[in-house]
Amino acid sequence: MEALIYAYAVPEAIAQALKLAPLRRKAQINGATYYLLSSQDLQAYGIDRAIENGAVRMGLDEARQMFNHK
Amino acid sequence: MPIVYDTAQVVYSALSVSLSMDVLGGSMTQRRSMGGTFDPDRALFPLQLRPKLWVSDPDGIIPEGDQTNALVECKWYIGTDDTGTRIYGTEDDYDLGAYGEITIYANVLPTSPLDLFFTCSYIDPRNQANVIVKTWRVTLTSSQSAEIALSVTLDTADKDAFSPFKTTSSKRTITAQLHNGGDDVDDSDAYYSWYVLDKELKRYRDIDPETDLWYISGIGTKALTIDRAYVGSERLMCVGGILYSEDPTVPAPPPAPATTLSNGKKYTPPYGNYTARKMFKTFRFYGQYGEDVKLTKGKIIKADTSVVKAEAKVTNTRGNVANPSKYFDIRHFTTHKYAGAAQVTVGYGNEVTVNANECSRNPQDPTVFGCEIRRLSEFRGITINGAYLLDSNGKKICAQVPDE
Repeated sequence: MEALIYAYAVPEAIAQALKLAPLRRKAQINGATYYLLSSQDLQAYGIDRAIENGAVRMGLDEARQMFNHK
Repeated sequence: MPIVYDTAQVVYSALSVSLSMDVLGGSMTQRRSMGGTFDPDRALFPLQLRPKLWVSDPDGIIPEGDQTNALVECKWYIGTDDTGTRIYGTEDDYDLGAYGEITIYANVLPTSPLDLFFTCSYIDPRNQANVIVKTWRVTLTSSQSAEIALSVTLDTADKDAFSPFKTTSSKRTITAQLHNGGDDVDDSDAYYSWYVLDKELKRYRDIDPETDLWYISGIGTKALTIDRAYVGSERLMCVGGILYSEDPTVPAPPPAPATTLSNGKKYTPPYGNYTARKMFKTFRFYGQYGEDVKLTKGKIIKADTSVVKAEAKVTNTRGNVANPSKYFDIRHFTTHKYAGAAQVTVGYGNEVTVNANECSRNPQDPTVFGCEIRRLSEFRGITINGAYLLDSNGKKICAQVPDE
């Protein structure tokens, strides 16, 4: 019905660069630590740039599952 | 000797104390989509507010700078002042950290902005007595995305011409789809209503299965099935709607009741506070065709000619129409060439056989065979005094009549 809203699982380095690591959920994916960021979080960094550097785009339901949203 | 005293008062210059709030992990505003999703969803991407106290001492006793670590009596309230609801950090939507830090997981409805009030104290370390109270207030808001641009498409042309000559089934299912911008509206979110143009009132009304004999099924769904063998000419309309509320706690309104029109038919408003519509016409269409009559027997009447047979011929763009009486009312007649000659009906149907003795033997005034070919209408119910004739199974008896 409307354009989907996405979340992004980003490598730890991106979360640290944005100083968001203390504020965002994290999960271990394939042995690496990923943080869950919103598209708003990535505005300063650039979504395309984040994806080039290992960020993975996902839907909100998938994000909730993967990052064990309460 | 008496001892006298005098006290030198210690007076400090007033401190300059400012309280600010670092906003981390988001902003004070959110967006809420039409489907109710928040962007960002604070349950996933919480917002953190972190107080920051800046102290400047004109006397230079206290080093100028961040004194956040000296904050005491940090309290958060939902509301505009300290009479609001105290936040303790045990709530699902809030976590409290050190020195007044608060993490907010709450999403804010566009109709219900969230006021937060913070109060804290700073004890002047120079005298350990002067308590400076600072407060800070914010309103978290949410804006509604007005992403409503509805349209309806139908899997039929705006003008659906039905050829009676078609050998395939006359039944047709017209499927509608509601769109919002470039996206399909999910069937669970969409409401579909079908209407027919009332020829008497010249307005759209509910389909009446009792009298709209072309209707088979589909009222209230996205797919309407009709039998075009029962359609002369009808204008139909599909209205697609969605029900959207800015406040999900408000229950959906019930569907509006049907109103009765002046001719006894009904009109039920479409459900949904946002709607779009699409109309189309479906009609019986013979296209181009040609008529002729041929004498297949007895074209030359001799003494021993017993019968004359006349056959109606209809051709269309595909060639000869087999069994034309299936599509046309065909009346055979005889007449003469002179002006004003009467027509004598001799039969109906694809062909007629006439006794040769009934034909003229006068070569100057031969019998002329002709046929009147009229298109047959769609199937119509037969009524007597407004009531439909029914067969033994209770089904309406229908027939085709010649089109005038």
